[in-house]
Amino acid sequence: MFRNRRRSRIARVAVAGAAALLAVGIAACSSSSSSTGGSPSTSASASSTAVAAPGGTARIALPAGLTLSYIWPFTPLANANEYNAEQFQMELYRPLYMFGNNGNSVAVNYPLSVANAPAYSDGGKTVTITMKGWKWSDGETVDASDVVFWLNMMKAEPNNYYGYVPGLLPDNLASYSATGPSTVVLHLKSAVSSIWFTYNQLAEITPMPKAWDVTSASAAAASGGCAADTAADKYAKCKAVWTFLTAQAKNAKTYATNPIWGVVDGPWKLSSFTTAASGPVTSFVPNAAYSGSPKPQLANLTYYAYTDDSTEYTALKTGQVDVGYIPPQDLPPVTNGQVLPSTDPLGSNYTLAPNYAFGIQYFLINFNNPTLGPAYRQLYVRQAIQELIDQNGMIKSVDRGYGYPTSGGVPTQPKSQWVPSVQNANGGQGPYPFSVTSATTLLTSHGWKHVGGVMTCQSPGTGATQCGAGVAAGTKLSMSMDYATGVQVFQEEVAVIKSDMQQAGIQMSLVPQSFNTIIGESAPCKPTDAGCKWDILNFGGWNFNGPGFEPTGEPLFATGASSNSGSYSDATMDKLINLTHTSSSLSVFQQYAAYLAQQLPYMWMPNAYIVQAVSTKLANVGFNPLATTLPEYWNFTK
Amino acid sequence: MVGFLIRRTGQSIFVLFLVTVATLGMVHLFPGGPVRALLGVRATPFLINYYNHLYGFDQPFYVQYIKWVWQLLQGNLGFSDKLNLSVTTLIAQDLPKTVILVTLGTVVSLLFGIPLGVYQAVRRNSVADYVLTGISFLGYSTPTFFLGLVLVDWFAVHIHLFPPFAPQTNSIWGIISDPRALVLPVFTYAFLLYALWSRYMRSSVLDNLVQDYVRTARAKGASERRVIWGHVFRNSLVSIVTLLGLSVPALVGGAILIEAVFNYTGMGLAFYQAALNNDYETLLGFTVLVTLAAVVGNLLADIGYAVLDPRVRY
Repeated sequence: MFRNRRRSRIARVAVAGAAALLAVGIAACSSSSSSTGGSPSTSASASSTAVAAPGGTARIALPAGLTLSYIWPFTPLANANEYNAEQFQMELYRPLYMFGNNGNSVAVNYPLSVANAPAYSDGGKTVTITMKGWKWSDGETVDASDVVFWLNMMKAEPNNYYGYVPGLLPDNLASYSATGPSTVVLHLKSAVSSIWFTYNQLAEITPMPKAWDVTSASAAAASGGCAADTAADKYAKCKAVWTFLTAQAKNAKTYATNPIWGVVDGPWKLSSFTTAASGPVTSFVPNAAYSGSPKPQLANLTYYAYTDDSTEYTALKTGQVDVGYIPPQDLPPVTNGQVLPSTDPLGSNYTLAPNYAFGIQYFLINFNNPTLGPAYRQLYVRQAIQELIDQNGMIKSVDRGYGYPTSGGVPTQPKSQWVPSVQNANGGQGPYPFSVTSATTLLTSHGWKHVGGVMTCQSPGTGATQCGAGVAAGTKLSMSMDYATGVQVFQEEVAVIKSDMQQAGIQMSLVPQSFNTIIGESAPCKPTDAGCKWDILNFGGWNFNGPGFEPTGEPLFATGASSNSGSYSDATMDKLINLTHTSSSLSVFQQYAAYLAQQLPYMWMPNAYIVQAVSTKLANVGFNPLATTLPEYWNFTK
Repeated sequence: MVGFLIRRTGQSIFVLFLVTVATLGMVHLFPGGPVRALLGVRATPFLINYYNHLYGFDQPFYVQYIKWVWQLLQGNLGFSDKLNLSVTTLIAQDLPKTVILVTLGTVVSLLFGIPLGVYQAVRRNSVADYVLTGISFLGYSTPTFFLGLVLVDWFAVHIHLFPPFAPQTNSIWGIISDPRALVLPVFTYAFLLYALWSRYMRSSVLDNLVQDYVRTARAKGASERRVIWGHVFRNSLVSIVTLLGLSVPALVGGAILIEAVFNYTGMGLAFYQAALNNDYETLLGFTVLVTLAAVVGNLLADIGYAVLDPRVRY
């Protein structure tokens, strides 16, 4: 999902990413809250000798300016964000498969899932899902028909589900059915990678209870007929159920009292909900009928909304929340590989922990810009631009040490087997570390010369020492960068970038724009379009947080992808992306990821992490890079 | 007066028409269109067309305007997809909070600003006048958010005398029954306004003190107290009434900086968040409401003149 740096600065948008694979199968993650491998710990816990005290209310700060707004997991795009998904819906309604754990794993988590690991057969064309037999809070079993209910709803209303991509789930299913009370069998139109299908397709499914399969509040469970609906009536029954459930979902004031939403299979149920944007906004209490493990130990969990970073920090300083974050501007700088500050700004009442997002940060270049598009299409030009981005310098000066470089299209935190070795080169900067000399040499060796301080193509042509196809003589590397205003970090970073670009003769003018404007400009365009004159858009990054937890990049780097704003297109990239969908081999993914790191469809930028603060009275609090929030593991101590 | 009211009503309708046309027109100026602004970077061309049709953005502008105005006349201010609640609900939730804060802040500032302004005029160039003038300038020049942050830091974080935030409940009774939590935000709001009222009152009283009617009243033996409070005070209120009328939109527009500092989401912050989030439905609804408040405020101010000054007749 797209991450707006403004939001991610204050909130973990983290999501999705595949974690370590042990073999062709998928490693299940246990419920440990500790970190793994070489990644910094993302747990903040009270002393291990502290005695657990059951009960209590844990108060969690939401990121400033954000509230929870949509309860139904079948969420439309306008309401889709990681807070509604991971921090609200998933507490109540468990997806078919959960990802992440109470630590820094980004793998699928079968113990927390309502189904057992899927079984692939018939060369990857058949998937068998076996439900565990968990219970809904109304006593019904979370069974196969609940899964079919979801798939039928996707068939009926694909445009109203944010995760739908034409050609993918459910379009890639030849057929599906509940072959027994606990078994769902999917027949695919073509063979798929078990990893990709589990992480990026099955991850989209959230079983829905029969109590929701209705068209009125007083109707009997399953009377709506959607779970049994078929294409014969064009899923008319599901459309009617969708209309009813959408009307319920749009009545946010009744979330805590509407019996529909009270049917849960997750560890929590909603006890109160307000649409206010400040103060205590959402409260949960344990679901006594929860079939999974562990069972919640807290008596209550409450989210607090804040208007601004400063008010959230004030809440921490006055002890009004148990879990919050320290705004970056209130953190002392860290150096020499430190992850956390030596001195806790909040004193002894809170412990600190880093919270990484499983994502990448970048700015986009417009391959279809009518003037410089041909130049951007030359790999050496992109290499030069990347080598003029001093990520380590910006991490030190702008992020004050709380960050790490992005080196390719695969997130490098936490460490995982997805990351190709080329991304770890040069101290994590990847294949193109910062070097003004190297960037300048790349350009001059391809027929560019300084003319009036700006690199100008003097040698057009397609030869090895010439500017490249379509680059006319006299073309100047003079470009504009539209960047989103309102974020101090952006302003500082772009100033650094401009200065470094100038050292190699690339003239960059900075154009501050509202985020709205940049969103409007970010639609993929053709060179003849009036709105295709932008050179660079700088407004955020991407977290692989669903739907899609394996960072295969099809929404970003494939030709014609809706979020491929710069219109990058490469036949080899498309082929490699498609291979990741059909091959379960890690080496196939690594080949794609390495090619991606070398191809530079986007220009990589520093990635910042958040410093979370946890009350010393609250134990076993973990921060997952996928934003998976599991308060059932938390407890107060005596 | 009836004729005046009819004329002003006609003017008000015209102003509302212009504002609504401009506001709806500006929604279409969102780069990429309002739907792309709503859906963000993940919007596909198919989804954009789908939602454009769903929301009627593919229809001629005049059709959209008529439908929207008809919806407004039925009391439907729209539905915010971003917040997932109706604009009416949002206003019903945030407006009382804003009204309480702005009303209390205005009343407190008036209670201090007007009498002190009169006092300063009567005791002009005295030590007290200079001290109070200095306080006024301090209030006027101190950024509101800075004052709020300093107060929170001193009185809440360090001394723990008051809570750091305004009442965190949405119910009117809950807000009013937590006066301690209202002290800092109300004081912050009132401090700037106090400066305004006291300076205007001082100037207005000074202007009136040199008028002939004051000399006449004194010559007729009226006590100084009667001269000031019986005659000068009422005549000096005209400028205050003007300012009060102009401040009516703040009752619905909110005090965004104070809301942000004290974690008290009212109309100001709601409007600001709507602008940040491309929430055009909320922006449209709020703009109509604020315009209505401005029109009503001006009308009330004009009526107030007629009440205060018998010479003013419409």
